Parts: sequence; structure tokens; C-alpha cells
Amino acid sequence: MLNGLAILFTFQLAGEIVAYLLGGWVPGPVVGMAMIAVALTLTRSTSFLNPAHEGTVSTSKTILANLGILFVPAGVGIIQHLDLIRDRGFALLAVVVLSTVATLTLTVWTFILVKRLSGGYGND
Amino acid sequence: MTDGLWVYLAASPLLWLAGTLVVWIAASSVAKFRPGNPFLNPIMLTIAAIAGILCATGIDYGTYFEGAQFIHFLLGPATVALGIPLYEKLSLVKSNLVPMLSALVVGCLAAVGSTVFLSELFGFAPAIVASLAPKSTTAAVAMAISSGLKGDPALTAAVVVFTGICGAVVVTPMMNAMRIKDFSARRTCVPWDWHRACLLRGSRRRIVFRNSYGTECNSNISCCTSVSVSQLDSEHLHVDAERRQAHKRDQGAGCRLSQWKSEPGKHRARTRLDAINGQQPRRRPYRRGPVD
Repeated sequence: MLNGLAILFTFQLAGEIVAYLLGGWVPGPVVGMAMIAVALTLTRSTSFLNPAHEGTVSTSKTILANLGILFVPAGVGIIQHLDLIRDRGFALLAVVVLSTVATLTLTVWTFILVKRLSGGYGND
Repeated sequence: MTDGLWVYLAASPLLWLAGTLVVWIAASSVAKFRPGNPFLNPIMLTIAAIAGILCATGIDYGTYFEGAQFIHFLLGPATVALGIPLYEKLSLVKSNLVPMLSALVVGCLAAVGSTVFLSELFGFAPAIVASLAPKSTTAAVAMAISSGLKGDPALTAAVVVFTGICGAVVVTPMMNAMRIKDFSARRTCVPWDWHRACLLRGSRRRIVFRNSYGTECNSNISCCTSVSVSQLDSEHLHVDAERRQAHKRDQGAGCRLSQWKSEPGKHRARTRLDAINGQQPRRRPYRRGPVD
């Protein structure tokens, strides 16, 4: 548990530092995520400093299994925008629904098209 | 006396920290009653409940956030933690790398482009457009991007959650209507958050998603790198080893199959067995198509 938290926080810290040095166009935690994935491919030992250590994995699973609650504090911030929802709620809804449908359609067909072109489905 | 206590508690971070946790747990158990209903999303229920309490008591968001910031802070480490499933699915990523990356690039452009276009069309202010633009990423990343774009992270978080619910509602009928059978394709276009929303779509799905913690996918500029791919898991049913054993023990799944009298009951047992063996569950005869 503690090892896991230490590793996650350390990678986030490292990610924040790298993100700052890169000019801040990419979020630090995202850099940290890439770094932990790279570190996992590079190291294979089971020392407690290794990100693959059991503590890290179980801590990560616990956090990710309850990821939803982490969005609540920010989501409650919607109470600062109640007038926006009252005035433009339907427009907001339309934006969300239409762009979701458009994105889904384009994404799935690109995937299938490229996979077909690159022979990912075999020759049949 | 009670007034004094209330003032005392309302000023300390403990009240809202504990409150958020308790409401979340309550909302999760409420959501479990109706697993087929994606609108009974625990995230949405919790937000609605707490927002209602705050509005009713007249407490401002700043006071609430002083307590809730400890939960909010964990978004960072949670994003880092997504690197672990990313690593675990690396071979799947590699085998589908080219179609995936192209789908991601197109998905990014489509998501951001269509959102910006539509919200400009509806005449939203620039700050609101900036808050809506990253709505198809996972909330942790979207909020970081939104504040970078001078948008409002709070609005972004709410919109991300709602996009997830919307996606969970439309994805299965849409994919079936388009006759998409390749599950790696179907999974690629489903961002992680939608999986959270999907989580409550039926008992079979619950087994799946309680154990497969993936990472988010799709559609954002800087998220392209972070993207990932548990979704690509073609069988997408990994029940981990000890759970598998516990399940077998509890259910006696193998030997009881013959005892089922009714056809749907028999099918349920078979599906459970498939899930335990980590196979793609066979389709129910009376279902229209596969469920995402």
C-alpha cells in the first residue's frame, strides 16, 4: 500500500517535472503514466522500487476500481454553472449527443478500414 | 448549541470529505438495484445528491471543495496508475497498433472538431467551448486540458460524465445497427469513462468490469499518447485467477449445468461458465446483438 502510493506519487512528481520542462502542453500525470509503462517494460526485478511490485499493482487496482468517486468533487462544481444549464441546457445536450454519435461513427469505421487495408483480417 | 456545532463542522474539511465518501457508497448501492439503467450512474447520483445538499444548505462550492480536495487530489496518482493496465495490454496494443493509432487520430479530430463546431454553432462563449472541447477524454485528463485552455474544469468534469453516460446508451444500438462485429474495433471507440458508465448495464457486465480496469481511450490531443486499450482485449472477459476459483467454488458451475430446467436459466449458467473460463460469452438466443 505505502510502497504503491510512494511509487505512484513519485512517478507523478517526475511526470510533473518533465511536463514543466516540456512547456506544460501535456498534463504531468499523463507523462507519469507513460513513464510508469516504460519503466515496467524496462525493469523486471521484484524489488520494492520496481513499479511492478505487488504493492503498486494492488494499490493501483484499488484506486482504479473506485475511479468514479474522484470525479465527484470537480463535478459538484457544476453548481457554479446552474444558470448556464437553465438557459442553454438543450443546446448543451445537443452538442454532447451529436458529437458523441459523430465521433463514434468515424472512429469505428477508421479502425475497420485501416485494419482491412493493412490485412489485419487475413485474406478471406 | 446545535447551531454552534453545525458552524464548527461546516468549517472543517472533515464533514465534506466524509460526506462525499458516504454519499458515494450509498449511490453505488442504489445503482446496483437497477443494473440495466445507465442513467442510474453512481457518479451522476453522487454529484446530484451533493449539489442538492449544498444548494439546500446554502454552502458555497469553495467550502465544500476544501474537504473534497483530498479526493480530488487522487486524480493525479489515478492517472499515473493507468500506466499499469496500459503495460499489461501492451501486446494487444502492438498487434493492433496501426488501425488503433489511425482510429485515435481520427477520433481525436472528430471529437474535438465536432464539439467545437457544434458549440460555436449554438453560440457558446469561448470559455465554455474550451471547457467542452476535451469532453471525450477521461475526466482526469480532460480537466487538466480544460484548465490549460482557460476553460472551467468543473464544467468539463460534469460534461465528461454526461458524455460517458450518453456514449454508454448509444454505443450498443449504434454498433449493432452498423453491423460491426470486430470487438477490438468496438472497444477502440469506447473511451474508458464509458466503461464506468457501462459498468452497471447488467450482471454479466458487472463481472467483467469489476475486474478489468482498463485505461481510457480515444479522442484527445495529448491523450493520444496516453491512450490505451484494455478495450482492445478481444475477449474482454478477464476474471482474475483467485476470483475464478472462488466463483467456481461458490457456483459449482461446471456440475450444475445439467440441473437447469428452463432454457434462459440454462443459458445464464452457460454464460457464467464462459465468463469463468475467460471466453467470449455465447450470445443469448433472444438477444439482438452483443453488448458492449
